[in-house]
Amino acid sequence: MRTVRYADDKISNFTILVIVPSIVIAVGILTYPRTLAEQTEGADGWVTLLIGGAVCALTAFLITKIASLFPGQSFYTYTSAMLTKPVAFLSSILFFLLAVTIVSYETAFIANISHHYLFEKTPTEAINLAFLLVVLYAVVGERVAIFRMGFGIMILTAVATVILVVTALPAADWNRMLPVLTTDVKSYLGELPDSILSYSGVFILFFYMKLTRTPEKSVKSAVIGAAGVTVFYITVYLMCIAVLGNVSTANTVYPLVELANTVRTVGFLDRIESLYFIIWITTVFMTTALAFDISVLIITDIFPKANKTFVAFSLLPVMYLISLLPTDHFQIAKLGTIIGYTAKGLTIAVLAGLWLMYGIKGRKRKGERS
Amino acid sequence: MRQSIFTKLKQQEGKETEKQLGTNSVEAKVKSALSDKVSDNLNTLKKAIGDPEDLNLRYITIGKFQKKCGIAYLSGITDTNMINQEIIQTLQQNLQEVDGSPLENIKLEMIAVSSVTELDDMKKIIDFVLDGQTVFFLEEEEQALIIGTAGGDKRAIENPQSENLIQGPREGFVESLEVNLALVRRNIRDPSLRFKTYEVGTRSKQKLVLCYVEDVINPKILEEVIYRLESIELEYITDVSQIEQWIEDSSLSPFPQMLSTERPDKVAFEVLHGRFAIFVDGTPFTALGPVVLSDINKSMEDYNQRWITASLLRILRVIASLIALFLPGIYIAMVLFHPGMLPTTLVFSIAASREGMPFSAIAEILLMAATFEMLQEAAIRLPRIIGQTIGIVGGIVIGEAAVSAGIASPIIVIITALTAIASFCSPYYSVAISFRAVRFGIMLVSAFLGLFGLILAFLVLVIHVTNLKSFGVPYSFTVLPTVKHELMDNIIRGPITKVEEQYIFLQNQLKKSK
Repeated sequence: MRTVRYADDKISNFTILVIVPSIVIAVGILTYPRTLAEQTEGADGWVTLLIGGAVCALTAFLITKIASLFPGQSFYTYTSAMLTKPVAFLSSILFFLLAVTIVSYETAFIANISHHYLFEKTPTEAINLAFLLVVLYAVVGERVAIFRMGFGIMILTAVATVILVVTALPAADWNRMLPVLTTDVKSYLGELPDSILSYSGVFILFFYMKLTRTPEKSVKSAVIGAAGVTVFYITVYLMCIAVLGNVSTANTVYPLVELANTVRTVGFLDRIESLYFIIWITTVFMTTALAFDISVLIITDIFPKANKTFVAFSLLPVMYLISLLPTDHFQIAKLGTIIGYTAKGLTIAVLAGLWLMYGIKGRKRKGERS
Repeated sequence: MRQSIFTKLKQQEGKETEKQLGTNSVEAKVKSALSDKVSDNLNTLKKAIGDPEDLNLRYITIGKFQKKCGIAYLSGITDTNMINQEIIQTLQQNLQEVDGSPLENIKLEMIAVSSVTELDDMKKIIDFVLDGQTVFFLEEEEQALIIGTAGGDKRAIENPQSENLIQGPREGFVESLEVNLALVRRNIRDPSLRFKTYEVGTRSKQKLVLCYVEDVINPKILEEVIYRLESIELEYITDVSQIEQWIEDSSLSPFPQMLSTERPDKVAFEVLHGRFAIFVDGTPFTALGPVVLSDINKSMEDYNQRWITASLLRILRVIASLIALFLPGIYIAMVLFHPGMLPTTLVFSIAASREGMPFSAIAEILLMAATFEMLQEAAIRLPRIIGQTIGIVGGIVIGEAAVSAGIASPIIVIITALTAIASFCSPYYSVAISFRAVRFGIMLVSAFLGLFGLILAFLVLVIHVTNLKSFGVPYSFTVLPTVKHELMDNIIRGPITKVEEQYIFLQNQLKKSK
């Protein structure tokens, strides 16, 4: 049967709003309360989380704004116009490599943690492969379908978080938050990079902005999305501190899991954290699917004739092999840090180049007019 | 040797095609022009359809006019009373003078049947006779009259067998297309209600009717359906589900992309909300489309109950479908991989009940599930009188003997039974039946990868649903992304004053996306 497309492949502002939390909230939510609590006193980590969120929102704003000046154009096209073709090609390829590594990293992380919490006997190689194959299935389908799914998973995560927070409330001891703002400036500064890294991934907006129907309005949506993530992060962090206290948060590998573990009020299941795990897996799945999709999108943007399915299938073995490289939890964490820094650095460099050139060319244009 | 058989077969095939050509050529030999002699015409007709037992030829002399004429019809598919009284009797007792064209006169003044048309093409006449009309030939005329006498025995309108409601209309469709269309027409008195007729099969010439409301349906959807219907090359349709299979978007999907119904009230309701319905002559079932995910959870009765009750029933059905899909998988994952997740007392009771069992949990549950499937299949095939035996045998074998013989643990029996009950909560049999296959897949994945496999299977289902389309409408449309006005008739069925806003997507999906 021939396939019909009435609804074109364009996406709405609301989808942009969904994309931001979908890519940003990933494996990091399990660990970030620990890294925060290690370096700050009491519940003071929210300060750096807020700054990190502001940086994320600003980045999202700058990316969507510059992209909205070139409505309907791909990253490769408008970067070529602004910064010459070789630069566009190089930055595209770097983003591509970054996306590929993100897919592998998330997969390795999922496999590692499932191996640890859900089943010890199954080899991680099998878990990796099963997970990647499902991601591939999502990527081979329609792009709009991934976003639709992202919306569903976002709701699922939100509901699960609300349930977690509500059920953990009786165990919360608000005195643990006190005293407020006792951390010195030096510690804040030392912690800030970690907080900022918790919010990485917004660079995918560079590529998805060409799909929006109303680029101008999408800018606002992206910022709202980033703000939503900030609220989510701060809530979960404050819950961790209130329930577990600063010291035990700092000394637990996965504070969020521990938080879920304290909730035993739900009678049917004894270990609710495994249930929370399942929802967390769907969230990570979403991030991985988006990163995979971006890597395919970059290739098809540079080479418009490339077949999407073919590209996706040929990327799979590469991603699988990279995901097998880190062998233990520390190596995976290290890979995560590298990815975080690369993403931020690359995004800032490209943004700086684009806005600089826009400033110069814009001024020139103004000069020509007058 | 092999080749010789092949060539033989080929030769036979050749002969058969020749034969077919032969039969066709009989029809081809029929001259389309009519003769002016009644007997010649009747003989041609007789020859063309092979002088069958049910063909009735009758010569009549018209009363005062004293002219020879003849009629032909197939008994059984015609209304014999009408032919006797309104045609033969009126013609024989005719006392009128005839002036002007005799055939015109007969048509206008003598034959007391509502539908009479003139024709001069023998091939078309044959088609009409085969359709149950009566043909009338007059001596010295090269034209014939086709008199609408189609009729014969039909099943009476009964309560729909497969979709019983406690409250709601008791009418169900029957096998006759005319009756079915009339049932819909009676519900919708709108001039823009359309019945578009198609013919399927070069020989069976079955009628297929596309029903929609012109002002309401999305023109893009209509265009697509018409395009797909025109591509049909079936020789004979036993049920409308064959049409569904031919025109559906994805034949690999376990989800139905059109829904079958035998309720006129449902067809009227859906057609008025921008869907189309497909009727086929000879079956009481009608196909409705396009379909989205939330539709497979809706029963017509939901609208006939007060909204809170209806909403609760819908939520119950959602839970039931989740149980039908995932419960055996969850049990396998829990027992094989994560016994620690269950409450301790439950783990002990499961362990106690499984003590001394010869098979693993997965083998046990597969055994019981397969037995249940077989029982179900056997119960459908058996004549109704013996059918009860299956119930007794199934109950004793599954419920009692398997447990006391130590083949299955009681908890497995509970899970199999619960799953079976849950899977039949679905308002549509086609949904229940396809979920069975999905359930087995999920059981296998859980046996290999535990809860992780279960969640991957869930993700695969979600990906599939978000990619699926029914006539271009995304299958997940009312579920993801959910918009406010679409919430009102989804998992909950909102107050009747709010429900009417629901179906905008079918009509205006295009406008919205622009």
